[in-house]
Amino acid sequence: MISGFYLAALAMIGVSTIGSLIRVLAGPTIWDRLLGVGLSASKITLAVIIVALGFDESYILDIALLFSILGFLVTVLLARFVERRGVLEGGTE
Amino acid sequence: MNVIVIAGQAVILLGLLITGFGVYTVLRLDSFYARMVVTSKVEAMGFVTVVIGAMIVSGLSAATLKLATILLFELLTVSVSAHAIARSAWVSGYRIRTVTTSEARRD
Repeated sequence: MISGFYLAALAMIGVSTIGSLIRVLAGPTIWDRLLGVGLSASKITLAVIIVALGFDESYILDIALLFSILGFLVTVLLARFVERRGVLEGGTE
Repeated sequence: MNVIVIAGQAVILLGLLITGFGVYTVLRLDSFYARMVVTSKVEAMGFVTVVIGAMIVSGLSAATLKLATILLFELLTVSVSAHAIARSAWVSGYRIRTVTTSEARRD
C-alpha cells in the first residue's frame, strides 16, 4: 500500500503538471506550448518514479525511462518540425 | 522507517519544492527566452534532486541502477531539448522586443 508521504508528493506533482498544462493552453506562441509539453513530460516521469517508490517495485522504473524517452522525442521532433515549417530533410515540399 | 529513508524523503520534498517554484516561474515570466532558461535549469535541478532522493530511499539495489540510468538520460536530454526549442524559435524569427546590450546606451 502506498504511504501518505508519497500520496502528498503525487499531489504536488499533479499541481505542477496542471501548471505546465496551463502554460500549454495559454502560451502566446507555439514554442511556449512546446515548452509546457516538455515540462509536463518531465513531471510525468517524476510521478512514475514516486509511484515506483511507493509500491516498492523496481520494474515500474522502466516505464519512467520510457516516459523520459518519449518526452524527449516529442519535444525535439516537434521543434524540428516547426523549424523546418513542415518540410522534410531533402524533400521538395 | 529508519533515518536514511527519512533523509531521502526530505531530499525528494526539496526537489518537489524546486520543481514547484520552476512551474510558478514559468507561469509568471512574460518573455519566452526567460521561460526557456527556467525550463532548462531550474526544472532540471528539481528533477535531479528528486531522483537523488529516490536513490537515497531505495538504497543499494537494482532500483538505484535504473534511477541512475534515468538521471543520466535526463541530464543528457534536458539541455538538448531546450536547445532544440530555442533554436526553433530563433530560426523562425521570434525575437524579444527589448533593448539588448548592443543597442543600449554606452558610457
